[in-house]
Amino acid sequence: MKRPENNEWLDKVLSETIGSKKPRADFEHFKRKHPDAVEMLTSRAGANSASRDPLTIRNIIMKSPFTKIAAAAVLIIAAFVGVRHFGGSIDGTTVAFAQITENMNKMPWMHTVVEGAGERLEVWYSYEFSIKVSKHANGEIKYKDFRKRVLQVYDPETSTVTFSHMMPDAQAGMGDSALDFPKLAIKLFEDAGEKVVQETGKYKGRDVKIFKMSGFLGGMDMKVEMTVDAEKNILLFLNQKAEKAGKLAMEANGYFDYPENGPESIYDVGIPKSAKIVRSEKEEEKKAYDKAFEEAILVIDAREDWPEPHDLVMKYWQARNAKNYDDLAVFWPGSATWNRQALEKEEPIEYVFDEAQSTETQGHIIVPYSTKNYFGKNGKYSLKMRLSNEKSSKGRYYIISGN
Amino acid sequence: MNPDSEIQLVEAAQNGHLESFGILYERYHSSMVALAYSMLSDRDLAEDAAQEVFAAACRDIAKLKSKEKFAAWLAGICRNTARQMLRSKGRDTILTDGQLTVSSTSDGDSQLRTVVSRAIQQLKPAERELIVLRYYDNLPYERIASVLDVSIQAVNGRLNRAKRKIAKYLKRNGLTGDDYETS
Repeated sequence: MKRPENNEWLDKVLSETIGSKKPRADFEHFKRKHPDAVEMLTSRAGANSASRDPLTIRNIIMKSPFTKIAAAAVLIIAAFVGVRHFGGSIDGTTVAFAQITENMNKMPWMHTVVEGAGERLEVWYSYEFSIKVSKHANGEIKYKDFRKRVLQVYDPETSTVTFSHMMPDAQAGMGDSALDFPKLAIKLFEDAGEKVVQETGKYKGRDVKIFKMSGFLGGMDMKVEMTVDAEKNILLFLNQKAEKAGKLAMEANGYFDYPENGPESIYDVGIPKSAKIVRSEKEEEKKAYDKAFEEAILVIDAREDWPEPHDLVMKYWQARNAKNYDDLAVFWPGSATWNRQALEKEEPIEYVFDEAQSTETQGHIIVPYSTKNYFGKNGKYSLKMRLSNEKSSKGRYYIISGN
Repeated sequence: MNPDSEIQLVEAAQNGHLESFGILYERYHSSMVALAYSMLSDRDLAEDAAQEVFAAACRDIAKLKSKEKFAAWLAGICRNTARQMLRSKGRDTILTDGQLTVSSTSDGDSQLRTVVSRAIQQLKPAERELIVLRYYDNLPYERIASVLDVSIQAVNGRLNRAKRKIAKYLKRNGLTGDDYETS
């Protein structure tokens, strides 16, 4: 120790900055405040509680921070793709990574199988239709249509399919996922960012780039290897290891492929046709969205002038970058109910836009666009915004989805 | 802290013995407040989070199989609870945007504390957890080790590394003026 007086000084400063009056540990107060929890504990008196309430593998994964992170980390790429595609934002700090996700966005479907941490998860994404389907080892299946904001959940224990209405800001991606992939992914990469190594190699006969990352996370040393197709720059394989005290504590693998077609309904991923259908509408959420949507349409039709689709999309992104929520709410009807604070945190991104193009659906058009950076490097557009004029009495186009 | 006695406390609590749970509550309450504070950057919210953590632990303690890992299990609940609180506040990222609230003072130390707070904020989340656990309530290394589920040696090493980073940050901001090294 070179200058111990500095160590003491730092200790003092840290204690003064962080230190608090000791938080009062008042168990009597706790008991009064949480009678139900206390009753649950005391009701076990005399019983062999551990055997009464066994843990399932899934519970372990959900409840342990270590296994949760280990299981989640293998879905990093999938998470980013989902976030990006369904309208959220990604952290732009990892340029190479952003490039890979942008390329993956262009694929019509992505299919992922993740195995490890006692869990197996199979996921399909449709970029064209904003659909995500996830199938767990326990038989549970979730089918999410982000465009229609419909969630279908198959419960194998009751053999039922529950239909419900998704929150409007669910289109921010998989943030409602139990394992909370995107946030963990961002965190992991930020933590590991200082130790990224890129190598070249072969994977199933293809030339690949291998990104190796490591970092300390959740009390473990995490190592992630991403195998990326060198030509197409898309993810093919992901391996994640968690080590504790130099010993392997967890390993999981993610396999990625990009089929032309995916499941068109929840019935295409193996649920019995005899499953009962249950509806669970969250009426208040739906009402708020519908109200915001209708108000926006009224404004659109009342305005003296209304931009053409290309200009509308451009103005939309200008407004989003400028945090002009009044304009956002009108350009994209219903978006007034989105999570405002999440939008507030987005970093401005500069985009370039193509001319509007017609689609096979009457009343729908798309406007291709891309980040200025991507377009500058590749000379093409990688993203799309879809517009409709169905609800406007004047046939004016407004945004209904985007990636 | 005798590990065997802690395991006995956990077993007793699992069998419905409320007083044993109370002892565990007293033992780890400040650790959980500190851990939540490292994520939430708000002392009042951290207190609320700790309450929720123990309520969840009270309900679910029967599910804990590794009794010797009680503190780490509690810490896991705490992190999840804090994340949920961040989510419910509409925050989009975990552990990245808050700045630790510093005690208001009328003296010249206020500026120093603000810079120190920023120095803590630029640490990696795991390092920030460690620093806040250590200095929030002067927790002993042994307690920190059990909460973070690492060895005491690891706590010592990581704490020193985190402090070096803080010292460098302070130096860059002209606040120490001296070299800083730890063993």
